Amino acid sequence: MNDAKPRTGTRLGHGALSFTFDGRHYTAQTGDSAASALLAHGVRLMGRSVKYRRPRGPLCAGPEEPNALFSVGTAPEVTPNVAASQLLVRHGLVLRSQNRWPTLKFDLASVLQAGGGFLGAGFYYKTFIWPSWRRYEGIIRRLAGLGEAPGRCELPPVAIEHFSCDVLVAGAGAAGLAAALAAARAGARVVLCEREPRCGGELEFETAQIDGRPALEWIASTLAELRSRNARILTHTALVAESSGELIAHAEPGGLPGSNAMYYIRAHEFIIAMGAIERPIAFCDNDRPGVMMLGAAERYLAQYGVQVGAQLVLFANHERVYVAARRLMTGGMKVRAIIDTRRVHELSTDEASSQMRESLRQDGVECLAGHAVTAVLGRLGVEAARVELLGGSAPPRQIPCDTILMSSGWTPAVQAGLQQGGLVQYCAATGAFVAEGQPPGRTATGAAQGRLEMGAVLRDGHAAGAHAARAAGALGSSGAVPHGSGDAAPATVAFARAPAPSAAEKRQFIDLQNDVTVADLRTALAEGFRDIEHIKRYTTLGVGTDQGRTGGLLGAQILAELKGESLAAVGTSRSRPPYHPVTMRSIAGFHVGAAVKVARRTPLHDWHSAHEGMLEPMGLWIRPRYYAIHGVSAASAAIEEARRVRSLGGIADGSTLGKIEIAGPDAAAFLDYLYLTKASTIKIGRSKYMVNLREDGMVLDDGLVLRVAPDRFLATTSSSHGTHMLSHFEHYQSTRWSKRALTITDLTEAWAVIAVAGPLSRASLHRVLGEPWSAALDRLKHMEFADGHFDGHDLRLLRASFSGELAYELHCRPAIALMLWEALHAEGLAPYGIDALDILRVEKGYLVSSEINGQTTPLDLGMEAMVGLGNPCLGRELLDRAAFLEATRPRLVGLRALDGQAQFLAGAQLTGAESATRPCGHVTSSVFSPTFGEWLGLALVARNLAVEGTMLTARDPLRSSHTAVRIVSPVHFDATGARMMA
Amino acid sequence: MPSQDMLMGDEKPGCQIDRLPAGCALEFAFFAWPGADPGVSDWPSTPGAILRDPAHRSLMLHFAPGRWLVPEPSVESRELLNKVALAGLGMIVEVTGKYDPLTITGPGATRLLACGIDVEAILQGRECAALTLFDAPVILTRMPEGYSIWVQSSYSADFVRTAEGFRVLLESGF
Repeated sequence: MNDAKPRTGTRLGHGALSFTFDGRHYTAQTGDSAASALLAHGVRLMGRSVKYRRPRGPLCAGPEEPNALFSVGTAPEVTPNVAASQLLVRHGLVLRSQNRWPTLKFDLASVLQAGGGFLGAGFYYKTFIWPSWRRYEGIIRRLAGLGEAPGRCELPPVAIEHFSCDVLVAGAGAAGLAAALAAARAGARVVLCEREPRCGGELEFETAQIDGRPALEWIASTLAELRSRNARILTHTALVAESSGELIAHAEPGGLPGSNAMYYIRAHEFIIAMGAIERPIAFCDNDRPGVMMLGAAERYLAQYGVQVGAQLVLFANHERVYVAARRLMTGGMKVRAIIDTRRVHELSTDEASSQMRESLRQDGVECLAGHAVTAVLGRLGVEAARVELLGGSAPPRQIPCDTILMSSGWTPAVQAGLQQGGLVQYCAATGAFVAEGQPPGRTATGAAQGRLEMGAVLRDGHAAGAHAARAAGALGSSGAVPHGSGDAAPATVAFARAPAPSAAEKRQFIDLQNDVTVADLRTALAEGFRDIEHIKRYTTLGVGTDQGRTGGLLGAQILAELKGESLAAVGTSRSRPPYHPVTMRSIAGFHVGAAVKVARRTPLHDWHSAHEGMLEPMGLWIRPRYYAIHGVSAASAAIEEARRVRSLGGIADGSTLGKIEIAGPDAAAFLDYLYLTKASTIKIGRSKYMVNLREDGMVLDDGLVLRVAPDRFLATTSSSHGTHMLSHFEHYQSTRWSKRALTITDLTEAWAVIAVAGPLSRASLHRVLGEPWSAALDRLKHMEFADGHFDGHDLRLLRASFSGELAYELHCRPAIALMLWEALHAEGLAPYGIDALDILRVEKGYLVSSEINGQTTPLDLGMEAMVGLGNPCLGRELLDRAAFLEATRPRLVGLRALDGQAQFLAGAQLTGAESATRPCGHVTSSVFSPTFGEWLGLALVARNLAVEGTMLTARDPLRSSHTAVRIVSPVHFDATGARMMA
Repeated sequence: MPSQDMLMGDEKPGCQIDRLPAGCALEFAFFAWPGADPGVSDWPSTPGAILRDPAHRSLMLHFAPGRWLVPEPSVESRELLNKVALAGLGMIVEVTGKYDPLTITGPGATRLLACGIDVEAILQGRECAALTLFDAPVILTRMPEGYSIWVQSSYSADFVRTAEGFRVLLESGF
């Protein structure tokens, strides 16, 4: 066990915790992050880079951390790529470093770094093509990728909340707090999102006074006032995206899934106050453990009481480095030198700055202006900094140190400003891009808008909040502008990379997460990639969990230098949401496990389930494929069920059929327009098999249309097309038929349907329905129906068949469906499922979506008689296109194996005698028919070959089977229809 | 260490989901909308409006433009519909069984619905709306102690399961 000294910090409590990192035990204090706890123990090496496997330590203290990413937990339940800086230590936490084997200190694959030049940008694309990519795929896949994919993932549920507000402020630093306060005081309903567990941003460590009080006191009183004004404050919550008018925020307290939440927020006004990210500097081996961002060191000190090093060299291009040095020294660290890239004449000359530099010198800090750190000495850590005079010929110096803290300015966090058409614009004053051209209702403020001096930040935030409140209709007073003073303006002079010979550019890292170096940018340019978006994709600059937040602008700066263009001309790559890593479980929301897709159930669902119905999703519906009581396998059960229907009878749940009522004086004309044949000729109490066409003449769907009254029809659709057909009908009602008197109502759920089929169906129905229905049962002819009541509920008896047998459909209210079903079952009618239904309908040549597949016309499907009636319906005109009459158009046929025994399956390609490789059609449906004792099929075959008796071969390369088949009539069974007319 | 945090779930108000027996229901749809005048004083003409009885029960819900749901229609309601239908303005369709009614009541009801929709935005300025909630087509209405929901019945099992899942999650102190 490693014990560290007790520390104090704004985020620390006094409790003691223990955890393991790479199998070794460490202690932590409550509130510690994994990074702070390990740093407190002197652990710097926390991972290896993804490509070169170079040793890496933490660079940042926020979610932009590119290096110190851990796998949490033990296989198979692992959460990979958790930023150590964001991971709150819990007792017993198991952490592992990533991208190393066998150990972090000794990684076998790190030998690749010796050939860093090999693996530059585009190396994979150009190298692993001979003799075949497959030769390399295995090892590349093992080496590639960030972290270890979980083998199992049982994450807790996620809370979801949709809500509205007047003003959403993302970011609770100085600007965000000022904005939220101004808006709340004006009377707006305010929501404040802060990704960190505490509000304040930089104020957590910066020495600042606001309204005459220390900044931390101002934060506390501001939060108290916001709460008193009913503002909602969401800490641990990062704004991650904007979509469909909603701003999406994600909460993952402590950096691990556990009590995650997703917020979908409709805000009248949105204020981006997400601060700015400190930029690194490119110099040779700037990725060594011990090279960190200056602000990160300050955060670790203030928040966790962690000294990131003992002997520091600070490397920057602005004035803030000096005040930071003083704070770090106050925190107990020794600053050996401050390397300022600005020349002497560029340094701030105000009295405070001069005094600060002088006092640091007096305390033994060497302040070198016009110098740069050009390289790091040390392999697994920093041993010294090599320092050179910029533009001079003096020999380089080595300054011993264990830590180099760098800072080249701040990049405004404008990701949220780039969505929904928002633009960024280069700001010369800050040397970065700020949000401009924002859509109405969105404003960026504070550091996110390039303001870096406390007074300006507070003024800007207050103004944004006041403006947003007014825009949202809150017209109260926003109160006084807070006045503040803190660190002076940084007076940055642009500097992106230290001078280096070209051979060393491959060790000047820009994007540490993806091992993108200055040399990679040079290669990309040499290979013709000019635009930053192309260069991003070629080099991987700015992809990964940090999304270029540390290296993105630095890359653009160096690209500008290499291209000889201005940074404004080069621009930056466009950020995509999420701006902050989001656990996939949070995105899934409640769509996990059985709820991954909503399911529709019929009123008989529970009965099927209780009687060994093998329920499967078919579209959104859950339907029984077969009943296990009828056989040991799906095939044997379905065959038995079909056999019973033909010999005795059976019942099937047809409730999933779409049922749409079209009513009104113009209903008949409307249906005449939408169907290939006329509905207006249907007599009341009769139904008709009808077909819809699309505008292009292809068959859309088929079904029965029942005429219930002179002005009232019920159209049935196939189960999977119900919703689409309703939408199809409504589309034409609201466009071409908008002035006509008709209504369309979905009645799918209002009518349960029980299909009663087989020779015993009529007799069974007589007994079940009783005397009131006897006359109707005896009277009804095929396709006729009668309406009435049963047990006080509506009942419709329709004589129709999808099996080829004497059959009826009971359309009943769901309340009596189970009673009727059980009564019929008690009569000896066994249930049959979809598989049996498939057998029965293929035997009869009836069509389903395999044949009505969106690519077949009525002529292809043998519906010439219907077409010949000449109804001028939707899609009818296009049926006359010459292309639809060509010999190669498909034609519906029946198939049987030549030997009467062999199996052929749906999907098999059909070839003729002319060519064994060029298909002339395919098998759409195939079943084993218990009636015939052989395999039967339906197929679509080129019209010129669709002649009964033609021999073809059904080729099924997936199963390596070839079956000789012959074309027969698609109606295999009872071609005259004698059985169903009985 | 003083905490600034105001985490979600500081308050954990509960709620109750009750499935109600499905009775007779009618829908009434106008042929043309807007522009038709039913000529009946009580008719809830504004989309989102509800005609209620003195006991605050919903008699007619204008849930989509030109379309009304009439749950458990009374003799008076039927007469009203017949009058408008006979005037040639629209059609009555019996939809018994199409919807499963349920209520979500209690102080946590709004928060539960917020797991799927922005209730405030959707019901702003109206009493009912047709929408998709937890992936199910529903008609949502506000009632004094919570919400009444008519779920298309083939979806109701999944709807209730999802709602129950959120109820348990929210009441567990999330």
